Amino acid sequence: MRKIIRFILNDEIVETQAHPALTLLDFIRKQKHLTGTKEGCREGDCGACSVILGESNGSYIRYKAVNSCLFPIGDADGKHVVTIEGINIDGLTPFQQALLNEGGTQCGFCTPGFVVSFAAYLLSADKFIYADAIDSMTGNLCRCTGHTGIRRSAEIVIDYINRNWDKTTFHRAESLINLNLLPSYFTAVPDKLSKLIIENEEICAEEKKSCLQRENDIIKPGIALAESGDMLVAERPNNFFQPKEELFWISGGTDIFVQKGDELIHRDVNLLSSVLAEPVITIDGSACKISANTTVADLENSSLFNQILPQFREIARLFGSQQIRNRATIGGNINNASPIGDMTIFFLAMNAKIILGTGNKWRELLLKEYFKGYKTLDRNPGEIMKSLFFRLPHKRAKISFEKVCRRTYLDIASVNSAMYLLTDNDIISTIHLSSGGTGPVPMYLKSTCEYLTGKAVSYNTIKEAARIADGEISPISDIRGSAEYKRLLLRQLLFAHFLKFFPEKINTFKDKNFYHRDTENTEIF
Amino acid sequence: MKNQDSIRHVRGESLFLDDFSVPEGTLYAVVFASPESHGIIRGLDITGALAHKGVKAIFTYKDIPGVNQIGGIIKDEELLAVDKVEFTGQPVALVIAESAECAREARNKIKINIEKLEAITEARDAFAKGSFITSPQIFACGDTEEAFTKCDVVIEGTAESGGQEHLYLETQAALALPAEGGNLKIISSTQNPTAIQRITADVLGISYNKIESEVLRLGGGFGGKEDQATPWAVLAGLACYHLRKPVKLVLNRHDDMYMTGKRHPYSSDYKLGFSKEGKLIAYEVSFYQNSGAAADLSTAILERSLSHCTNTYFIPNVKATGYCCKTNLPPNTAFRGFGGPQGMFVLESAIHKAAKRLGLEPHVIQSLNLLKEGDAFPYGQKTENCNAGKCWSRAVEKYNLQHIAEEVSSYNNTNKLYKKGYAVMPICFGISFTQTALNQAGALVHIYTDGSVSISTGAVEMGQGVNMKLRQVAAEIFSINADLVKSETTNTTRVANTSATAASTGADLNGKAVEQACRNLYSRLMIFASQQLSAEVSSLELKDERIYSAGKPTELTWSELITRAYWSRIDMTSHEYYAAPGVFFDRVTGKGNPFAYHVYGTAIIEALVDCLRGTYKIESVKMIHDFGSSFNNVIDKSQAEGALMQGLGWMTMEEIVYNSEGRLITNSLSAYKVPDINFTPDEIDIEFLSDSVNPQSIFNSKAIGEPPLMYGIGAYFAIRNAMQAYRPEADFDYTAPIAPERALLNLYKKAEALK
Ligand SMILES: Cc1cc2nc3c(=O)[nH]c(=O)nc-3n(C[C@H](O)[C@H](O)[C@H](O)COP(=O)(O)OP(=O)(O)OC[C@H]3O[C@@H](n4cnc5c(N)ncnc54)[C@H](O)[C@@H]3O)c2cc1C
Ligand code: FES
Ligand code: FES
Repeated sequence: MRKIIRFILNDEIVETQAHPALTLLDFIRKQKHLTGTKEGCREGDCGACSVILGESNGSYIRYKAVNSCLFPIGDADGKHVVTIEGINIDGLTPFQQALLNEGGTQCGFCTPGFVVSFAAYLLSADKFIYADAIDSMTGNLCRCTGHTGIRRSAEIVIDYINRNWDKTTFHRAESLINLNLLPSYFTAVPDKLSKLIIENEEICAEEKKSCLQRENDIIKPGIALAESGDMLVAERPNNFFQPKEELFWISGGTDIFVQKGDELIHRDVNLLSSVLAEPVITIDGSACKISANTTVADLENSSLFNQILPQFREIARLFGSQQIRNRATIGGNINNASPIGDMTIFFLAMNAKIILGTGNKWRELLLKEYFKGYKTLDRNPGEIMKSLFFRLPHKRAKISFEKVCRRTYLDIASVNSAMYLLTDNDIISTIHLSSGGTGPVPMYLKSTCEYLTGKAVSYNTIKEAARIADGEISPISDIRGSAEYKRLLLRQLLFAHFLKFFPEKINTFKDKNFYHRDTENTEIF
Repeated sequence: MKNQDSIRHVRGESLFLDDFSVPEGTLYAVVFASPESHGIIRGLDITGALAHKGVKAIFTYKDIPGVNQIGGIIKDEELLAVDKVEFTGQPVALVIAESAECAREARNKIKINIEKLEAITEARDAFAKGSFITSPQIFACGDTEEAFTKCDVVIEGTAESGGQEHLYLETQAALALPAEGGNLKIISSTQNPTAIQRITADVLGISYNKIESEVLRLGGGFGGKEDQATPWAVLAGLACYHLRKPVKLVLNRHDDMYMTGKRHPYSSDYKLGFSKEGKLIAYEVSFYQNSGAAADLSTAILERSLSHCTNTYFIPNVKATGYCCKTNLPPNTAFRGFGGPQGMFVLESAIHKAAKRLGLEPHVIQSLNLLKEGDAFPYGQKTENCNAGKCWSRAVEKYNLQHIAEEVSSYNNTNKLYKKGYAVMPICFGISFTQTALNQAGALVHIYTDGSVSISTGAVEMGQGVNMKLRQVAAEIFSINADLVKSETTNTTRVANTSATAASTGADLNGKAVEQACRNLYSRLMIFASQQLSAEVSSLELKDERIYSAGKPTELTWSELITRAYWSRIDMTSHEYYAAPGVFFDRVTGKGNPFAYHVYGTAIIEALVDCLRGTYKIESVKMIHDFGSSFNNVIDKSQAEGALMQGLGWMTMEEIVYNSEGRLITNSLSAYKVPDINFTPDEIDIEFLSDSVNPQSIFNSKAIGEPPLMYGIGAYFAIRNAMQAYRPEADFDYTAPIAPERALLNLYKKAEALK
C-alpha cells in the first residue's frame, strides 16, 4: 500500500498521507475546507455527503455517486473526485435553476447532495429517463420540500436534455458542458488523470518495498479469478470465524464504516481494492462467476449478467441507494454475515458456491453452508472470499425475489426471500428457497424445499410449504419487526413467489382461513 | 428578484454552523448523557476520560456558576444532572477536547453508577401512577352531559398517535466564542436565539447584555430547535466561559436522535354524539399526552391540542381535557402543528367510526359539520372570513369526489389482492402564539448611502423562506428591486427580546414590523423629497426606484434620493415594533381570541394497498389550500408540499420505538425511516384558494408553515379504507402510524381477535 494517496479533487491534484480509512468526507470538509459536502448521518442514509467518483478504465472515465462518509480515502487514489464545488458553473446549471424555480430547495442542507447525485446520473446514464433520474436520488433525503419540487426539477431537466442533446458529440462530459450542466474543466480531466495514474505507478515502483508488502497483505495484487477457481484447502482448524474480531478488510466500506465508525482510523486496515483484481463477471462453462469485489451496481449494469438474470435489475433497485450500490460488494454482503443481506438471500436461492482462502490456499464452499450462527462464518482468520459462482439458470427457471421493509427503497428488509424454481408440467422438479430476517443467519429453507420437490403447485401445497417454513425459522422481535410479523410476512412472501407465476392455480380467496394467522405452533407470539 | 438563499443552497455555498471557519485553538465538546432512563446517580468517575490525550476539561453541574436550570415555561429541567436522571440521553457531563473524535473517545471512558428506578414510558401508565407535569387543562363549551342525552347515537373509542423525529438534516449545533470582559458570543442553530441569550446568562450568573446570540440559518428546524437547541448552545457557552477558548458543539446524528425530544405521542379517549343524519352534537375527549421527563413546551402544545380538538367542524357541546403525563422519555417538544395534529386525529377517528355506525361515507359527516361564518370555536372565538366551506366545495368539485369514489369502488371490485382507498381531510388551523405575549416582533432597517437596504428582525431562516419574504416586504414598500435588500443574521444585539420563530408566525409578525419600519423611512424620505422637489408630499410616490411627482418621473432616483438624504442628515435607520392586535386568551376560563386568524383547506388523498404484503403507496394528494393572498407562490407551495409529506410520514412509516426501559431503539436513520423521493405521491395537486382575504396579516397573506401537515392525517384513513375493502368484516383500531407491520398484522388478524 502506497503511503501517499494522490487523486484529482475537482480540478486540482491533491496529495495526502492520511490514514487510508479516513473518510473522504472528513478529508474534503476538514482538510480541504470544501463545505458544500455535508454530514447528515455518517451512515449512508441521507446522501448529504454525496460526491462523484471518476475511475479511468483506460479509455474513458466512468463516473458514479458515492457516500463520502463511508468512503475510505485510500480508495480515492488515482481517481477523480467531484464535489458540489466542482459541479458549479458560472451562473446556475439548468438543474440548479429548476430547483430554484420549483421550490426544490428550502433549508438547503440536503441540496448539494441532490445536485451531485443528479450530476452523477447525467454523467453515467445510457439514456436520460425521468424514473431513472429519480432512482439516482433515492439515496438523498430532503426533510423540507417533501421532494416534490426536486422531482419536478428532474423532470424539467431530463426533458430539456432530451430535446437538446447533441447526438453527434461523442463525449458525454462535452455534451453536458454544452448544455451548461457541467463546468468546462471536465474536458481536461481524462488527460490529467492518465498522467496522474502513471505518476502514481512510478511513485509506487520507487517505494516498492514499503508499498503493497505490509505484513497484513496476504494476497499479491492482481490475482485473477480464473487461476483460482479449483483450488481447495486440505485441512483447516475447526474454529469458526467471527468477522468482528478480525483485522479490518474494507471492501466497499458500506457496512464496516457504519459498524466501526471512528475506530477504523486507529486500526490497521486493508483495502480489498489493493489486493483483488478489478471485478469480473464471467461465464465459465455452465457457471457464472463473480469476483467478491463486484458491486451491486456492477451486476446491475453488466449486460452479461442481465442476459443471465434479466430480473436482476429490478431486484437491485430494492437494494440500498444508487450511492450504496455503487460501492456495496457481493463479498461484503456475504461476509458481514447479516441475516438479512439481500444479495446473500438472492444467491442462496441460486444455490451459489463461494471461494475463499488465502494466498495459495483456496477452497470452495456452498454458500448455504457458510453461515454457522449469528454473525459467525465458516471462515478462518486470514481468509478472504475471492469469488462466488453459480450454475447458469435453466431457460425455464422461475426466479423471484421478495423484500418487504418499512420503506420500499433504501431500507433493510423486515423479511426478504428468494426462490429458484423449475417445474415440469407444473410438478416442481427443482426448488431453492431462502429467507432473511427469519433467524440468526440468512436461511436456506431446506425442509421446505424438500417438501415441495415433486409436488404439483396448488394453494394447498403452498400453504403446507408455508407451514413447514414456519417451523424452520426462528425470527426474533427487533427493530425490523416483531417475530409475529416476520413469521406472517414469510408466509405471505412464499405465496407472493408462486402467485407471480401461477396466479390461476393459487386462489387465496377460496380459503377463509387464509386471512387468519395460524398461531398454533408458534409460542413466541 | 432573486432568492439569494436558494442560489447559495443549490451551489453548496450556504454556510451552516458546522461550515464556519473557526478560530485557531477552537475546542470541541461532546455531551456525556445518562445511559439510564430513571435512577439515582451514585457515582460519576471522569478520571479516565480526563487523562485521555487531547482532553482539556470535563464539566459537570458543579461547574455551573449560576442556576442549573433550562426550563422555559416551567423551571423543571436541569442543564446537567445533579443526583438523579430522568431520561436516557439526559446530559450529565461535557467533555472538551482538541477534536470531536478525541472527545468522543474520552467520553467512552466516563463511568457512571446509577441506581435504577422504575421507568415509565407510556402516558397512560404515568396517568395511572399520578405522574404529571402540571394539573389537567380543560376547554369546554355548551353542556356535553345534557347534549349526549339528546343524540340519536353516541359512540366511544380510543385513538393513538405516535411520536415523530424532526430529522432536520442539520443536527443541533453551536459555537461559543469568548469576547472581552467575560462576554460571550454564541452562534447556534436555534429557532430561538433570545432563549439562548437568557438561559446562558442565567446559567452563568451574568447579565443578559453580556451574551450576544446569533443565528445565520438552520438546516431545518420543524420545532425541534425551538426549545431543544438551547442546552447545546448553553453547554458550549459554559465551556467557553470557563476556558476562554472558542468551543464548538455539534451533535452527531446518533447523539441528536437519542438526546432530544420529539413530537408527543398521544393516547386519547373520546365520546361523540350525533344525530342520525350525522350532525355532530356533543364531543368529549381526554388527551393523555406523553410529555417526557420535563415540561419543555408540553403545556402549550397540549393547549393547542385542546383548541384544535374540533378541527374544522362546528360542535356546540364540547368538553376536552388534557393531561401532560410525565414519563421517562426525553422531554417531548414542539413539532410542526404543535399538538394540533394530535388533537385533530382523534376527532377524525371518531367521525370515521361514526360514519361506519351510520352506514355513511365519512365525508358526508365531515361536510355536514363544516364551520360557517360566525360559528364559535370551543374557546369562544368566532370564525371570520371562514373558508372551510369554500375549500371543501371547490375540492369536491374540482377533483370530482364522486368520480374518485366510483373509481375506487370499481377498482376494488375487480382487484383482489390490491385495494384502493380514499379520504377527504379538511383542516382549520389557528395562527398566533397561544401565549399572547409572544405575538410581538421588532425590526431594524437601515438604508445605506448606496441605496442598499439591510433588515434585521427576530425571524430565523430555516428554509421557510422568511428572509426572502422580508426582503420582498421592504422592496414592495420602497418600490425597489429586492436584490437591493439583504436579510441579516438574527442577532440579539440588533433586535432584542425576540420570540421564537415558530407557530408559523415568522413572516406574519416580523413582516409587519419590517413593513412599519420601512413605512417610517418612506415617509421621512418623502418629506425630504418634497423639500427637494418643492412638491406636495401627497403628490409624490416612489415607483420602480424613482420618485414620481403627480404621476410624472422626477430626476430623483432611489440612489440619488438616498445620497442626498444622507448629506442632508436624514436618519436612514428605523426600528419598529409590532404587537399583533386583538389577540387575548384567559387561561382560567379557557376563553378568548387566541388566534389572529385561521387557515383552511381541504385535501383528497388516495392510497393503494398491496394486501398480500401489507405495503402501500399514497397515489395522490389533491388540495385546495387557503394561502390568503400569497406573495411568494414558490415558497408557499413548497412549504405546503413539505408539510404535507411530513404529515404523510407521521401517519405512515415514521415510528419511534423506545424499549420498555425508555431507551430509544430507532436511534439512527437506518432504523427511523422518513418519506424518500419515491414515496412522494406521483400526483400532488395544489390549488391556491381564490379570493381569500386576510387583513390580519402582512399583504393579506396567510401563514403556511404548519397547516398543510395535517392533510397527512387523510393518508391514514385512505390506507385504512383500502384495508377495509380487503377485510370488510374487520373492525380495526385507530392507531397511527400505520406502518407496514401494523397494516399486515391487521389485514390478517383472526376475526374474533379484531376489536
Ligand atoms: C445506507 C445503507 C443501505 C444499505 N442497504 C442494504 C440493502 O438494501 N440490502 C443489503 O443487503 N445491504 C444493505 N446495506 C448493507 C451493505 O451495504 C451491504 O451489506 C454491502 O453488500 C456490504 O458490502 P461492502 O463491500 O460495502 O462491505 P464492507 O463494509 O467493505 O465489508 C463488510 C464486512 O465484510 C468483510 N468483507 C468484505 N469483503 C470481503 C471479502 N471479499 N472477503 C472477506 N471478508 C470481506 C469486511 O471485512 C467487513 O467485515 C446497506 C448499507 C447502508 C449503509
Ligand atoms: S452523511 Fe448521510 S449519507 Fe453520508
Ligand atoms: S431543503 Fe432542507 S433538507 Fe432539503
